[in-house]
Amino acid sequence: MTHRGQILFFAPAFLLFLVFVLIPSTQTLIDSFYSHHGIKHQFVGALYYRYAMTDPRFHQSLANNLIYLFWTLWFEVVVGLALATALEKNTRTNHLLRVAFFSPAVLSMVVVGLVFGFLFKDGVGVLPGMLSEGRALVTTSVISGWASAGFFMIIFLAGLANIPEEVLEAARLDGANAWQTFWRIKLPLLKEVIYVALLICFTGAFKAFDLFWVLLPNQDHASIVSTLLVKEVIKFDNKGYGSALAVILTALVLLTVAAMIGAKNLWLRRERNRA
Amino acid sequence: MKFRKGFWMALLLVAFLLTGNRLALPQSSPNRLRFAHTFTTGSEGAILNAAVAEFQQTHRGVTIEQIVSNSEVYNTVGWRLQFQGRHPPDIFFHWQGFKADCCIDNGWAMDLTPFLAPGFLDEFIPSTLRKRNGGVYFLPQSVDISNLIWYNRDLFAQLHLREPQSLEEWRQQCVAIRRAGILPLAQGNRDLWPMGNLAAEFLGQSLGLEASGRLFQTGSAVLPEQVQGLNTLVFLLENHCFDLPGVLQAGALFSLNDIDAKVLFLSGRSAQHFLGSWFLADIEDARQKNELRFSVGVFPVPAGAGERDAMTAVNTGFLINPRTKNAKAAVEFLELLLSRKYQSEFARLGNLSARRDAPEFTNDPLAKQMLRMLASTSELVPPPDTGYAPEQASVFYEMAGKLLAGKLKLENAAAYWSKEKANLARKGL
Repeated sequence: MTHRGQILFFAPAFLLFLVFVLIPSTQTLIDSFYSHHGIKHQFVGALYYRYAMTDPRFHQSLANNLIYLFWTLWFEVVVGLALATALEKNTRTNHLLRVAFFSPAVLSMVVVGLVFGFLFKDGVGVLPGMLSEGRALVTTSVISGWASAGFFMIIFLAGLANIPEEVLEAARLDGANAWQTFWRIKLPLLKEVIYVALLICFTGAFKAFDLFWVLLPNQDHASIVSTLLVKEVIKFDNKGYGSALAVILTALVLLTVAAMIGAKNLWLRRERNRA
Repeated sequence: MKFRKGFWMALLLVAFLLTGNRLALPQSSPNRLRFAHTFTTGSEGAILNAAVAEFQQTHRGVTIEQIVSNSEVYNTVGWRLQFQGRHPPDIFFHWQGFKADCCIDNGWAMDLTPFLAPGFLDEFIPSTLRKRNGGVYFLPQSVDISNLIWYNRDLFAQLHLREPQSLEEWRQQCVAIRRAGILPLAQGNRDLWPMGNLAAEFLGQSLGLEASGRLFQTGSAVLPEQVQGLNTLVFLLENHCFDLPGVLQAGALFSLNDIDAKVLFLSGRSAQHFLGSWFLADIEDARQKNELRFSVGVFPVPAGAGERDAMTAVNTGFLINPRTKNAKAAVEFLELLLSRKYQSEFARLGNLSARRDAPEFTNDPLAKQMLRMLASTSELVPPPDTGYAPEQASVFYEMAGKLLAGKLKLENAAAYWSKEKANLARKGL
């Protein structure tokens, strides 16, 4: 391809990235150093970042993000992997069950939040008390798992389909049972897929917003960083602090991704050395 | 190859030229006035449409484009975001108080004095008109009383209860209703403002408008004796006035929203319900649909011994953007909308008009009673979410919510509120 052709292919995507990601992100970064009162702006330096370091609400929200991440790892990735393994064989029943488990993944999280919010509503709901202070985070994670496990199941099914049949056949000839085949053959061969799933799950836990916003409004004990920052901007009209939280959240996601890539590279190097 | 590439590029260009205009935002013009408001019900819309049609007939060539918003969205973000685009509205709805003042201070509202017809302002109740910077920026439409106690007359009669004359009497009545196996109050505080507004009224009654208003200002510390007026919230919670086995379980207060709660009351499952004057429209609606099985009464939140007869209320009305290209027509439209003809129509829906002749608009005994309450009250306290800065209101609502959830003791409320205000100050709020 000619240089001009490359530019032509690159330009539309870059233009969209520039308009919808780069410029707003830079503006958010700039906004985080200003206080905004109506149309008046005032430079406040790192005030909002310093405040975030000592803000108990931010600390609690961050802790809630981590708890949510822990539970979604189980309810989304582990359950998704279990479903994929259980429904791996191409039978008619399995096809039907795959569709059934995947179907919640096509629903909007706002709709999911509204439906479960009604089911769990104290006083009038079918299962009241599920969103109480002690249970709210686990309940939200279970709902998230219900909605997303099917998506992870599809990713793992694609990974399982790529495992060469000869490898599995050889394991069977060597007398490996189903558990040994899964643990010693399938799981190691799925490591790239698991890595992608973990990456989606980790970044998803930090990016989560809609389900919490709809299901747990005005519940500080169950707020996460994204709901806290939206509350700052929308309710308090405090664009500066909201932007600072957005920058911190972005930094956290980037750090998580970098840490995961680093861990993967380290692990690959060790594998290579062992070989 | 070159021809084919050129053909596709030309096709894309033609497609963009033909459809790209749909991406353009509507342009402001002297003949096109954009009117942002929150009248979402069909009956309100019908009155508004009639006013628009009449205006357009008398002002040939001038059209009114309505931008209808959900009230909650408008109250939180819409009111300021609408001025950040390139085409802000010409005429816009507002709640008098902090937000309307913000609009004036930010240059989003204009002084209407030079455009108003002579004598027009004399048509309104004087207390609903407020001058700012020596000018009149806000034209009032109605007065919303934020907290009233709506009650089931039949149940009250059955329990031999009268409309209470004092806060103490009302508290004992709530206990008596609960003992009789009836839910005293159906309330939903999921969004925090319903009980937060009630808490503001208790605060206003115990401290008065000025002293309670000072607590919502930046940086001021709160003393324990200043929040003693909130003890009624704790009393109601401790006496299980918001829950009853088989009807509402404890804690349901934070799971239900205001609409859930009013449905519970209208279906006869509670003896009383706190809500603003706008509830009259729902009662009327239920009556017309033959869904109301009991007679409804209303009384103001009674003041305690030695307290002030304060009432939480806010005026709603309209402002005009100084960037409008036809200020004269915009003012004339508002004069028409706020005229006796259309305001009497709104009054039939339960609106408490800000016009002097409002008592003539309605025969509804409840509406007349509310107008009498308004006329007799000594102090009007604004609801925090429209009267004060949103972050200050939010902190207060959260504190009231924590008191009602039993997570905060009254003796610690002042310290909690002061700490939260100090946190806001550290953020520059």
